[in-house]
Amino acid sequence: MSRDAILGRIREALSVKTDAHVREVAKQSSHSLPVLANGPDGRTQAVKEFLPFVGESLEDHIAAFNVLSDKLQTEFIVVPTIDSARQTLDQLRQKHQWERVGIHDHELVQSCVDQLPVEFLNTSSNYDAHELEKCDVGISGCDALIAQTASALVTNHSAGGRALSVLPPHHVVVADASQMVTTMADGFAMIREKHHEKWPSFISFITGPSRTADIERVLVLGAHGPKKLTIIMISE
Amino acid sequence: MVNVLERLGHEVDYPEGQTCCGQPAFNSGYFPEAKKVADHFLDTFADADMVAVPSGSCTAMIRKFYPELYQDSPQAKVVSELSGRVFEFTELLVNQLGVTDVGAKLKGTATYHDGCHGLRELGIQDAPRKLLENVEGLSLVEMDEAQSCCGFGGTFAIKFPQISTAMTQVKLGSATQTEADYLISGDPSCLMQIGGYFSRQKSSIQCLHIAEVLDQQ
Amino acid sequence: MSQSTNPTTQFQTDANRVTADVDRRSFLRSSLRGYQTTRDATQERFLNYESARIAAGDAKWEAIENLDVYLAQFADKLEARGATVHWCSDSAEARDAILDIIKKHDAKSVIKSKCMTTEEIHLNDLLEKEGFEVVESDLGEFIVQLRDEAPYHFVFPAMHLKKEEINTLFQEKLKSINTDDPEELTMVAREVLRQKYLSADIGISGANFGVAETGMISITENEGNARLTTSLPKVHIALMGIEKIIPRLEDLALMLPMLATAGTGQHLTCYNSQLGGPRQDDESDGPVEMHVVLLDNHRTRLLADPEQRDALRCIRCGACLNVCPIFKNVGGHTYGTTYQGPIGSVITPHLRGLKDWKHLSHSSSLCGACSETCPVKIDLHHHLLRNRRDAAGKGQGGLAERTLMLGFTIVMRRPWLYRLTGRLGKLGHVLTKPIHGTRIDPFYAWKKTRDLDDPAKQSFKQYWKSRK
Repeated sequence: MSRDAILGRIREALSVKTDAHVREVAKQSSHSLPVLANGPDGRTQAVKEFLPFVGESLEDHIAAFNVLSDKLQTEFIVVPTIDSARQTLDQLRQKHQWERVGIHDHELVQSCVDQLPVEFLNTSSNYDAHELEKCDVGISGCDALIAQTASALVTNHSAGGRALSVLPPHHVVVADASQMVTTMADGFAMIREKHHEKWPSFISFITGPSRTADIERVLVLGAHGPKKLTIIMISE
Repeated sequence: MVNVLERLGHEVDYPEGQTCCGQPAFNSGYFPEAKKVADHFLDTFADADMVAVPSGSCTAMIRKFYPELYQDSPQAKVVSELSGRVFEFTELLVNQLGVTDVGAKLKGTATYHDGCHGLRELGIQDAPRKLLENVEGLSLVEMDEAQSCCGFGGTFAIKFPQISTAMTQVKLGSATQTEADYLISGDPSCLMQIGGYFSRQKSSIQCLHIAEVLDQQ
Repeated sequence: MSQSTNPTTQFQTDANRVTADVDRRSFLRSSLRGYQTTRDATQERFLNYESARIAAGDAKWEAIENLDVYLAQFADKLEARGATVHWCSDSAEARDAILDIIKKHDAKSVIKSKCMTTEEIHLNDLLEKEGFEVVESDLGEFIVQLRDEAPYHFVFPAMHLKKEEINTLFQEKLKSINTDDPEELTMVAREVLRQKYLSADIGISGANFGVAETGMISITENEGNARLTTSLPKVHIALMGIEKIIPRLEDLALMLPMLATAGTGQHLTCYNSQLGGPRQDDESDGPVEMHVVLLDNHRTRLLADPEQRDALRCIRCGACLNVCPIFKNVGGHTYGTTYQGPIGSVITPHLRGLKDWKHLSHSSSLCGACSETCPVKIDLHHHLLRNRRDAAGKGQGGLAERTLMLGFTIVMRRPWLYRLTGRLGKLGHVLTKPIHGTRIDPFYAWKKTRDLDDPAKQSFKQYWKSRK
């Protein structure tokens, strides 16, 4: 009923074409500018051509990711092998005195944590959110690392549901170098490919630890989500 | 403005029948009324090679808003041709005549206030600064938020005097910080607002139109 | 800000109060200045920010000019994934829809993440009246909720408050420790709200974008409160204006960085989440029900305006507020609207009536700083002018103003009369000298705070003649 009414009002409103002058203003500029073709392809191209440039090679991408991570206060650690990732995790455990760790069924995550002497909570099947809240850290995989924004792209498949990566006070992402892509558009394309239109119900770009500046513009980490974000990338 | 242009060897005429471009009515929303006044402008200036205007705001009215006002009228073509020949004084000198040094002299420190219409409707930003940099004895200091509105805005200044004045108060703060002797602008209306407030606050900063500065020998 | 005062009077009165508060204005100005500085640096990193604005604007044009197609597609896709879509023509329908869902689940507590559209339909008032516990989880929203105030700025709800005021508030309302430290204050809120997420039955969020192609909403945030709100409670309700649509998923790769850059000056906000449906069969958590409530509430009226439908492209970044000299000097509450600043002044007359809200279009110097900064290039300040035109066309300016404009036209078309008026003006100036500076002075509004030079002894025309 209301659907038809609203769509009907929209159609009626759109039966009058947009004022040509107003439409033109959105394209004008005082500078002479490169403008891409209108439409979807132009916009995807715009992400590459107009947004910040982060180079072409993996080295460039890692360097760019590093610079932004510093700014974001993300701890970005590049390690050569799964073994060294294991050691890194164990050092983090000691440093932060982890006792309970949230994990999920994910090949890379499982092989990195299999020797951690802690109590685990697995979020890949039904779990109690109150228990997850008591975990010291959530360790998850991801779908991609985005060089342009220093983000980890996750879904509920790659990150053990919606809450593992946001409820505990520390979130650790493990990834391998093949997951590094240039733009967010590349990240979406990867998910599109992987899930063939059967989209996960949750997709998120995680860009730094949770933050707020709602009180006098002073940056505070860990507003509601994790106070710390660690991204471990295995380069080999 | 006449003196400067004549010194540069141009012939200047002042059509005595001229009145107003119609902006006060236009900005108050009275478009048909503004158009009637614009008709008079078109009659008066139709034959000029170039029209020099000592105000960014009036220039914007003619160049940007006349075409909109006459969008569907038979005069649309006349309007678009004439509006292409109308220039604000500093852009006329710098961009049309290629002059950046008019041989003016003025001792002291000055800061420049960008009138919003000249700046954002017409993109005038460098021209006045280039001209002022070449005034002998004058040093130019940028004030904080030089591109913030002075608070005039036509009837806004009367309808919302408290907001309008608060904006000029900020302007006075920025100008005072520069320790400038002069505040220069290309728009008489901004100068009326800024000058009026500065004088009430007994500020020692003198407000001048850029044409007055460029005329100093 | 009571409902009984006329919005124009309320605006003038509040503007009087705030403009007189030099300290608060300078606090506001320095915060907004801070955002500007961060933003400039982020914009610098773009290969071509101006071109990116045009491309981002294009995405929203495509969505708005084909809204019927994209909105239907969005709803169909979402429903195919198990979400329920509610189509609401106005605030009352949206409130009813939301209340129905809450009652059906026999819920007691509701946790909300920041959503201006819920402010627009006055949802909290209703839910509290119905006896539900409603908690705002965004820190800024949480603070203004505790103060029983409306958000001050639609992106930075509590930007007007100093840390000392928040300290007092938290001590009073939360029995918290005495501290002015923003970090400690934030942690107080974190602890209080953690428990609320875990116990809430219903999570209510907004949506920054609705992706037509895939049937997902996209939520942008920094704190993680929206993620928790949409992960833990068993029911998720998202309220979304119908104009939030974008065509494709990949468009987000452009829109999200633009929103962040223009809004807070970040290159990207901390969490940008796309939610398409409730928990699916192969998923381990998330709400069992997802409801998307689509709200018209006169947006179609704005859409019917072939010039100002432009304003429906707004992505609510708040950049136009941050640069607006009016906002900087009157603050957010003075507007008396859900959406403050230039964009609010443009759209409120369409959403709530021109007659009562036209003063917002007049309370602008038309400086154009808003249009210059808008990341999707909405012609904001010219729309204010168009609202003025429409108000004048309907005779809403009043008889005095109409007469003045008629007089203006008559004089300006007749050079002899123009000259005569000039002379009479000078004469009038001399004759009215005794009342200058008093309330009956015709220039009182001007002269109260500003001097007015005496008219020049010689007009330019007289000078021109003498020169020849």
